[in-house]
Amino acid sequence: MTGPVLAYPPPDHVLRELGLEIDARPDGSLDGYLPITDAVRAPSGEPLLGAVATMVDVMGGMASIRACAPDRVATADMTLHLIPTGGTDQLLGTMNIRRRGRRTLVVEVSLRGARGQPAGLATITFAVLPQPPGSPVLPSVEPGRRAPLPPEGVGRRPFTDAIGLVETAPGVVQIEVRPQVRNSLGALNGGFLTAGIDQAAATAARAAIGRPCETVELHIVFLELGRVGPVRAEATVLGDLEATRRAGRATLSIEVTDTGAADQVLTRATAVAVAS
Amino acid sequence: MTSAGRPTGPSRDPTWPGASADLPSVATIEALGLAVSLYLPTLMDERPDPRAPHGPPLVDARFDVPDHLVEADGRLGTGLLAALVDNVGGMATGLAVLPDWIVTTNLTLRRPVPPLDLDGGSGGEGPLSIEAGVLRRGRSTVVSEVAITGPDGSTVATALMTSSILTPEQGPPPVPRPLRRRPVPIIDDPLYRSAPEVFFALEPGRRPGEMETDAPPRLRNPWGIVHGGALAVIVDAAARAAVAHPTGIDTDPGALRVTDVVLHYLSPGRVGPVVARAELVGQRGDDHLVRVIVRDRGADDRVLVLSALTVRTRR
Repeated sequence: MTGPVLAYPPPDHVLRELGLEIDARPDGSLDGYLPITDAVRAPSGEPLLGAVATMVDVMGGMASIRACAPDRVATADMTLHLIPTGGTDQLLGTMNIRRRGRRTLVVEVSLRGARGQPAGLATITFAVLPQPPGSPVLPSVEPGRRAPLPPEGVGRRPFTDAIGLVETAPGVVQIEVRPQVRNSLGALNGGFLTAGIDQAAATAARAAIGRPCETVELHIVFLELGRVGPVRAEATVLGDLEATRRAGRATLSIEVTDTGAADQVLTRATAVAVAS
Repeated sequence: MTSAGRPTGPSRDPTWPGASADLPSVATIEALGLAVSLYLPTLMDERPDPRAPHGPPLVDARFDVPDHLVEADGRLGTGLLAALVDNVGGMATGLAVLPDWIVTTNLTLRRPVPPLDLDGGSGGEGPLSIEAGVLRRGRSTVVSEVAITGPDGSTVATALMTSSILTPEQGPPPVPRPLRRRPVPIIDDPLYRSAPEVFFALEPGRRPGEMETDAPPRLRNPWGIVHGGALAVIVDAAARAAVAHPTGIDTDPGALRVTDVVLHYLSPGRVGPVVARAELVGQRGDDHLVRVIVRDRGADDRVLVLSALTVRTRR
């Protein structure tokens, strides 16, 4: 017995502001296209890791629906490495399934700029879960290219503002769990949560190094869903601070908690942020 | 501790590891699947987790970095650190799911830039303290965190690992509880005091950025599957070989440092030779992003590991 088809994302959802296009191929792979506007640029002008992670998360979600239906999936972990593109107005991600087991799905995303230049790599592991009887099902993903969801609104405001991210101290950010940033389960969208980690890491690195910084590498494990909020991400610089400052490169540990749910730990992550 | 595909334990023989007099022959050790654990001997204790006293215990371990394992700068390679994480993190995770056991499905490790990378100095980093604890136990998976610190308390590496819960046919490994440090057996075989490339039988592959091992019995667990730590070591070697060759910045792979590694264990390696092929993806200053695929050549090139690493050029 299946439930109703879920309508996601709703009309005023922040995902719609990204202008993301997805091309689903018959072999199960996907291409994603993310316009790189000022709304999603890091201080150096390169794509903002949080926005890239959101694209990767959406692509992974669609690929997992195709690979695992009628079962459901939950994102278990994500890794993301960015390398400089030298300037690009679009990011292309190509996602391929690397393993489909009974309980897990592993996908890999190769990232390229508009000129085909390498831009990074990502991997995601999904836990495959049985679909509860009668619960809402996600729409099927048919092959073909999807235009950006209306209204596009690309570039009207910084992505971090759109998701309601607030820096409360260097290395500490918060996001309210509003309808515009929820996922299909009613919790904070995984890409937006990752954007919070990105900014916590970047601001902690900025404080340590003394210059604007941006996150370029991320390992994250998703432990629980952030259903209440505000969701708080706090980053700590690891290792020798003088070496960090001189290298212009910080290694960080990040913990994300749901402050409205007795500070339940939602994710743990490690990251590298570099001076822009 | 764990390998790609099947659970392994610290011992299949409840009398080991005990006093040296109890030590079986090298052939028996290898047949038991204990060789990698004896090459990287760690002393482990369990203790209650102060954050969750009634939850799974933390595992503390000490590793006395022997000279034959360190590189030119006096530190362990990142592949060996990942093998230690797999050993100690696997133990903490396994204890959390008894009477089941676990298999590592992915492992990420990151090491901060140490001062000597900037100063060009050298120095040891042992003994290492390793603390492993469970972050979350689900129905079918467990997420754990492992922190490795040096003698001065500084962070050497931090790691996250995910494991699948399995029910071994012969039950879980016979781990004595509570887990307490025991004397480390000394194996009278020069191979167990050799450099990692010798112990792990690493050889350059057929093209640049390729490393292979014929996966001898000492690299396998009791079910004949290549140990996850051995796969981490070959991934590290292949990534460094890929960076050393084409850049011309520093043609000695030993002068390169892997600062982070992502390992997805996709399938068990049962046949061999095991081949790791690395490709350069791009560069950010001194950091090179490398993708490595490990295959089992004897099993129709089945993919064993998908990996991404950052290799840093030391100047």
